[in-house]
Amino acid sequence: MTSANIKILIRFLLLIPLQVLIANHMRLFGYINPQISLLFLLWYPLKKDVSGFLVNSFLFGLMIDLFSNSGGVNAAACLLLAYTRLPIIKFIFNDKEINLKLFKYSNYSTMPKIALIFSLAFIHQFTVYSLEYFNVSYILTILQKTFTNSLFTTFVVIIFLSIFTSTKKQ
Amino acid sequence: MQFILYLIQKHRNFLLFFVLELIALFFTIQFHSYQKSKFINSANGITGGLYNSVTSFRSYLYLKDENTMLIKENSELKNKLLKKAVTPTSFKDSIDLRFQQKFEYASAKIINNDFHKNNNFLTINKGKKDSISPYMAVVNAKGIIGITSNTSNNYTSAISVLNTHFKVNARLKKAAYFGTLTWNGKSYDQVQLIDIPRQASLKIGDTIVTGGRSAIFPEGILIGSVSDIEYQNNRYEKINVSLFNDVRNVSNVYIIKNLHKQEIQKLENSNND
Repeated sequence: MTSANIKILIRFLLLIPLQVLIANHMRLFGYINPQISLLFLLWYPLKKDVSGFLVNSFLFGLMIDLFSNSGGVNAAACLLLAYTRLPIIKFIFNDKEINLKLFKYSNYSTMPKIALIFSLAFIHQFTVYSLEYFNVSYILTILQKTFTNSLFTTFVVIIFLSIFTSTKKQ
Repeated sequence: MQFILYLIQKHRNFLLFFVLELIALFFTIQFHSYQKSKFINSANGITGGLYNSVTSFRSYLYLKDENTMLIKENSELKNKLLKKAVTPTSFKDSIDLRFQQKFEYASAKIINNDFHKNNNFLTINKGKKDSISPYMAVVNAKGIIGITSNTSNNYTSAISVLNTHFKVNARLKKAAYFGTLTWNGKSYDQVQLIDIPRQASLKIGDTIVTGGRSAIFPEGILIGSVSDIEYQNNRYEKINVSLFNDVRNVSNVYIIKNLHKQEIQKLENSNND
């Protein structure tokens, strides 16, 4: 087991309790919970093979579903993010050929990073809420909740990212 | 053949994504259509165990409130006992009392509680070992809380009253008009009463209790008081009921088992055939 794999395992085991025991009980204004679990998908190394990433994200989402009694909602959302992460990164950082091995968030300035996290959070929350409501007539509620929740998630995730991303050059 | 293999090889990530997404959607649809998920629920050793250990720590913070509530409930029960003077006058009465018992109460503790979603669930620290099964009532002294849905050996997950799939027969306390209690997913302290006949005279502040027409809840369990009435076209369009319970802060609960449930269901099924 390489050190990268151990890191992934530790994140898996730490972020799930953090999400279900603390973040899911914040309920700002009654319903806003930051999705700290997004960090698992953000931090998953880009150079790792995609199929492993898909399976791991699926299992990660399923574990959160297990804790929050929500069917397969989070699994579907995490999986969708895992599949679309690379194209979104390429689009937002305006970089057609990203060097997957040397990719680091600290190489980029803050604005694109915020845009990236917000769009990932938006896709994640939109999938979660649409599947949870499962009813087109709630589209306004879904959009409103998605938007507010993504804003707050972006705020929390960017703080985490700036605290825990190492800035030292390798 | 080689071409097909090549295609699969080329698009293997997309195929994997597609298959896993289908599985996730299957869980989601199953969750929506059966109002409970068979596989993905918090009634299992891993989630139950984690929630249990966290709750045992957190419950110390609320000991004072819980104690006050329990003492209040105790005194109410003692008063009721004194009023009724349940002293059987003859041997026959005591037998009747014992054998006409229809419900059995078991105490339990909520170890996880959601209320911010559209379909909220509770996790409870008792399970099959304590003879808890699906479709039992979850209440506390202030009123209804939910219905059990999935059980494992030591834990149970329950549909909260704040779940859009939750439905229970309810009535006015002062008059025998029956309706159905639902939740529209909007506010955690307001539930909705539907199908109340138009001749029922409702006033703001009226107490709503369970109706006892289902095999789950005994009749007369408190629900809440009417807070908002919309009367249009000669019928009740919307009745809001504010819950007596603050569902955000419930901890110690009772689970009610209906001893006659199988008999009732058997009879009802035979009528349907």
